Amino acid sequence: MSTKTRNKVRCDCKTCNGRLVDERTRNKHAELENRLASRVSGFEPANNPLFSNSSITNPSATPDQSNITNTTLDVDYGPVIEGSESRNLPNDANYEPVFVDFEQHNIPQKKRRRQNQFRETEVILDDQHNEVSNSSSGESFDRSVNKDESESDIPSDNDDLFLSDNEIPVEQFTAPDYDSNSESEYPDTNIRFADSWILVWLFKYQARFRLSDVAIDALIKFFQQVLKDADQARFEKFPSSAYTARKLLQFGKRSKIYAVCPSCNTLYSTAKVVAEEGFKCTHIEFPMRSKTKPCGMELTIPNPLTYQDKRRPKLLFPLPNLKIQINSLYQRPGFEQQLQKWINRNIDEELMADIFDGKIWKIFPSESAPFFTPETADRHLGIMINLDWFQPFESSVYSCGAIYGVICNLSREVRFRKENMLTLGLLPGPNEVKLHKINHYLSPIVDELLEFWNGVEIPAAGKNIRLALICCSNDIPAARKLCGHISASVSCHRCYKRANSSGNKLNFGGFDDMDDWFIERNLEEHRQNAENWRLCKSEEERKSHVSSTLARWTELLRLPYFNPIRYLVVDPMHCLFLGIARWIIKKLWIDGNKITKRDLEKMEKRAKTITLPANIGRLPNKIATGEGFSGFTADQWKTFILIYAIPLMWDLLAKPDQKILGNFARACSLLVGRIINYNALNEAHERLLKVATLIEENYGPEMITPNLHLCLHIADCCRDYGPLYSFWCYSFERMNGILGKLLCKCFIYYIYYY
Amino acid sequence: MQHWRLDDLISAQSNNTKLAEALKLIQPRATSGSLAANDNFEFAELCQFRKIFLQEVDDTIVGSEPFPGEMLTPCRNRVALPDNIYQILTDYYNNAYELQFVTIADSILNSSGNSIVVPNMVEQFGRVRIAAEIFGSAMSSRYLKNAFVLAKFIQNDGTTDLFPGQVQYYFEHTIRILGESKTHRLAFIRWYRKVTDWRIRFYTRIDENEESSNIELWQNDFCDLSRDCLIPIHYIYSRFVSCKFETGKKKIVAYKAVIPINRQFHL
Repeated sequence: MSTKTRNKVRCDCKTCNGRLVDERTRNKHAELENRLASRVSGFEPANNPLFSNSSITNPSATPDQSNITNTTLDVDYGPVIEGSESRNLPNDANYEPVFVDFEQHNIPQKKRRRQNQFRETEVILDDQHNEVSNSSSGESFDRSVNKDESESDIPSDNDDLFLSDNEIPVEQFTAPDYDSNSESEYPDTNIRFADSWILVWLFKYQARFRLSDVAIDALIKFFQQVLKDADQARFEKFPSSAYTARKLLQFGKRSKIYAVCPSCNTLYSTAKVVAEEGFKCTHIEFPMRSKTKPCGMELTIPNPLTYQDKRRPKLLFPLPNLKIQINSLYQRPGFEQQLQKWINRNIDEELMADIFDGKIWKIFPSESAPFFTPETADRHLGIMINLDWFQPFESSVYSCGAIYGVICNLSREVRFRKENMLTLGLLPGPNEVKLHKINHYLSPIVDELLEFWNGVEIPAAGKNIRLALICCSNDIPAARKLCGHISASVSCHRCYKRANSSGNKLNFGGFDDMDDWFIERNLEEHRQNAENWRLCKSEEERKSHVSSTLARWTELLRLPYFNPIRYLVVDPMHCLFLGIARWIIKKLWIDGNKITKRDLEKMEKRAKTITLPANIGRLPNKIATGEGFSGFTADQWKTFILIYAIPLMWDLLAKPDQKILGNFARACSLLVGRIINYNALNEAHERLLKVATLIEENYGPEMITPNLHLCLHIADCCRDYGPLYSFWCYSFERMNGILGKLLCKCFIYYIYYY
Repeated sequence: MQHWRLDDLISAQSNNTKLAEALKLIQPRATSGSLAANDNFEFAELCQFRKIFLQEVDDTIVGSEPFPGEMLTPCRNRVALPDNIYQILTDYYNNAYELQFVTIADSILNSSGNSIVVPNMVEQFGRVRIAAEIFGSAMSSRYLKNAFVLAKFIQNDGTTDLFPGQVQYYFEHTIRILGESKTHRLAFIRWYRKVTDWRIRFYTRIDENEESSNIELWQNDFCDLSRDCLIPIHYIYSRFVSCKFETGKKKIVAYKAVIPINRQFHL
């Protein structure tokens, strides 16, 4: 007990409510209140449409205004960032001018683009509103496109915005703006400590052997003792703990983190959500209806580890900064040479060896002005994305999603290495996102991609880097969410084939009139249908809209070049091996009693006699257990079809089944080649078609699953993107399980450090 | 995130030799398993190989050309070849070069001035890595399952065909030809005997179409030794999985099923 008496003063803060407290406590509380207030005000300039009455962004696009917001942000930046982000003082004098320059160029651009997006939808609304009676939506769409082309200067944009004040608003998926300051800041690499290499090595050591933070903390402490013992003066400043070491090396959270509403997946800035007590989700799904309540879900839970009533968001959405990732790629020596490698390939026309031989690479985005040319090889990047859900934890059901990007300019052998993969976003669990709600997550990613489409100055490259999304490779459910298509069991997303409902099950039978439906869908039509989806006023209306037009809005449509029909490939791994192979063997033959339990046992016995070369994954010796083929992975199915199927099953099958198997195995073995020529591709297509028709003949049209239809598009995808090796999902997730494990680790790692 | 920052810092200090030395200690080990297949697998090499397989290269491959890969252990240094194989080797050189090669024994019998004596010593190897694929041989039982290979031959009637065989061993043979020392890398392979009836060979065909058969049936025993048993390793096409296959209902005949693996060099 201290005997010293102190003067008590009145504290007017929320918690004390006028109690008499110590003077220092009072000051502390006052400071906290100020900070919270400035946090809120710090976000006011950020134009969040959900909080302004209309769905309009602040028309702050004129350069002088944006400068003002910029400076206010600068002032507020300090207190906002304290505690949540480590501050980066640009202590290199040479660095600062670049940084400022970058800022000023960047901000007006970005604002403008976002307005473009709003305007576009609202113009349509405008027309629609006036022409509700005749609902000539096609016409209005054309007009809006025309407008789009004619309006390129900013002032007219603003006029538009002011006029459209009393429009019907549509559901917005836009994420709140983050501080532009922190976003475009590249950390500087000058550390004011001569022996920082020791620390760099220690952290590298931790990463290499996956050591815990506690371990590395002890190691750093030990090093400090040893070094100080050796040279007290020189190692005066050697950090005393892992925390101070991190601070010294300026490891900061450089990703944006959004708080997410667990019910409707709307994104909020974390600082705002935490600052306001009992913050509830204000997202309105159908703003065009007059009496709609906001979602109202509470976003935060009390933080059990702190005293007071500090709260933390229930869900977080970390958005790794694409610019920094690209920047660090360019910092690697030899990276630009790797990007240029594809130019010096000589290969004859008949062959396809990689994505560069596919049509998309050659004609993207249009035949007259290709994006990928030898001159721009190191500046124009094409990326392929993959969205997948996986379960990072073994013992609990928790699935979270990740969106990965792969730079296609790199040659195939290095493209899928983990160090060359980009992480675009990590979707929080505990369940997969529902259909269109994924748009909330896509929105900030699309913002970044749009920025990159117009070109971003990357300091490490010293060039203006442009980036285009040229391919989406996903399993069917993820593909449908990502690109806004209807369920694959109702209609194909690439052609005009729709499921027949003969019998009690939907199916894709009927190949006689193939010429009628085997045509690529119209992009414009799809785009327009997707835009119209946003106008639907209720859940039911949306549903019926989707089932009649097969299209749903997706934020990816904001990318001007994106083609959700052609760029969304059918993943051969899921389609051929997990889909068709499993379907034929398990459903048609085992359930259809073509292969009996005794046959399965016979097969198992035969399979044991086959010895495989070392680098091919062996099949588990349990073909006959359970229902047969239980728990086979995609890779095992592939091995089974390519190697085991015919010698094991040939004499157990009847003639038509032999034909199905023979054709299918042949098609697969043609397709999985690393180099494929057009003749082989055509043959594979013929054989897959034959498999489908044979199944229809022998088992009836209700046995034609979506996969059996989708496999007919694989040949098209091959022509667009080269051999399967360049785009199938094995590369992303399951390269014999190794890459998959790695991604999980990667994910946990992210959770850990953000 | 921390990784990127670390990489930034390392690249900024790239001229720091102390750091470079220290980082060598914690280099990640080379990937193993099937992922390693993608390491060192360059497109240009693949293309070159493809040409050789399709025999689009005009010059005859003699075995001394560079190849993307290496000879691997187990190896035996300076082994004397058995007489019959030594004879085959001499024949091989006679075919490959338009020069006259003789064995040591022959050179003593009739010593004509312009013939080249083939030495009898070779370096024997059990495995070879070509591009990303490792081929084994019967030399050590451990690698026997990787020893089944396919190679393309031009037959007497001008058509090319794939033949299955089992590699006995690989060897390097150095010989001085016209004053120049050349090392040839050859494989000694026992070939399987062909089934005479093509309906048996393409047993799993569909609609009487040979092409549609994924696997082929061959006799379960080897051909006699002949000059074809030595080929340059460049001509090895791919490995195959062998398995027993029985045909017939009453009279069961066992054959060897040849299932080519098209993961690496599939063309």
